[in-house]
Amino acid sequence: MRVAIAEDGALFREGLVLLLEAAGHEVVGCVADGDALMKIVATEPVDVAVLDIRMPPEPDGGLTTAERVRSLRPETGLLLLSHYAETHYLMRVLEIGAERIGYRLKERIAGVQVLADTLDRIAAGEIVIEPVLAKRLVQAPADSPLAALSERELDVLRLMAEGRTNNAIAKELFVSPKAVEKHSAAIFGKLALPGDQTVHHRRVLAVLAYLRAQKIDG
Amino acid sequence: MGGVVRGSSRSGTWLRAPDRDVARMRCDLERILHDGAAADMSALALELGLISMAADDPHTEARISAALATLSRAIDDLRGLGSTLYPPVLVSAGLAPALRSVAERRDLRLRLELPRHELGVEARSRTGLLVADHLRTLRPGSAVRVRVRGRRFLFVHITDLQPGWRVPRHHRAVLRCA
Repeated sequence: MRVAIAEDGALFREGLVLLLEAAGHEVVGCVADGDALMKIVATEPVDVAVLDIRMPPEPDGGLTTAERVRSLRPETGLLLLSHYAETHYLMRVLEIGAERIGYRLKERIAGVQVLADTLDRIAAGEIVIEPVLAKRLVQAPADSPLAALSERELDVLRLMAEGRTNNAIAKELFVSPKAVEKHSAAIFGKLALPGDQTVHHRRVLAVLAYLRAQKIDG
Repeated sequence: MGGVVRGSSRSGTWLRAPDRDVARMRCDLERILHDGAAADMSALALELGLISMAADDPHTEARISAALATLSRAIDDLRGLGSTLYPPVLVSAGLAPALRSVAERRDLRLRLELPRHELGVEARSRTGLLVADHLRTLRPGSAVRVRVRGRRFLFVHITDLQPGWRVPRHHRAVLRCA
């Protein structure tokens, strides 16, 4: 995979280059700010651009640059990294796009398997959401409608909120994809969720919008 | 820290917002943590990931994996400290996203009534810290309403009802904006 990096922390940037190259990816550019990344994206084919959210142009140059990359090269995948798992950042990321995009904590991509899985999913068109954030959104007070879900349905909902497909959820929970479909239909029914749950990114968006509303507004 | 109780009356308690210098210092400290220790520790996590790739025996791999897990917990602690010092989206996104973020982490039900006009940087910062510090004192499941009014003087009114309590508490603060 051809990857470009924009990150203002020199140590992290260099470490990421080494990790990507060790995992067999080609790093086509490695820069410290959004404007420099735009020059690379404009001239080189890039499969996935990796951007630090808090970098120049301040304050959130990663987000504004990701918008520009998506507008110039819609086919380029985007992986936004941050030290913080913030719902606000997640919503900004989803405004940029609901396909070929991801948002993860910086230290969580240190494992080569996790990094490979994240990049592969983004390149395949999926949304990848930081599991820490998905888990926090699924935790709800006892009087929330989420309390009507079984333990297994909550597991499925959390994995849906991470952007996982039915097959990936089935693999993670050691059940069949058919069983996941059944749980998914039950979740959508119990929570009266709108949207077409068979279209992957629409399902993720519906789930995240619902969870955020529950969490924030109660 | 802000949110210090200055006094109380029948109309509720009065809170004191952090002054301009304290707000600035807290913002600077968060930035130092983010750009310094947190950045270095994230880079160290990548380094461990690289070493793990080169490891050729399961024992070494397990030790690196345990070290990565310990490092992740330390970064989590640092993250908590940083966002307590200064909510990370307060500068870039403003009062509402910053306060919602605090409420989300503490399982609070938050209702915000904020001015329609945009607050200046200093007013936003001091008000955000005042309310965020107060939200962190509440028990999970509490319902909170935050109302902010005014221009030259900002009037902050926080009403909270903690689980198991019958009567809501009222807290007020007044900030003079530069």
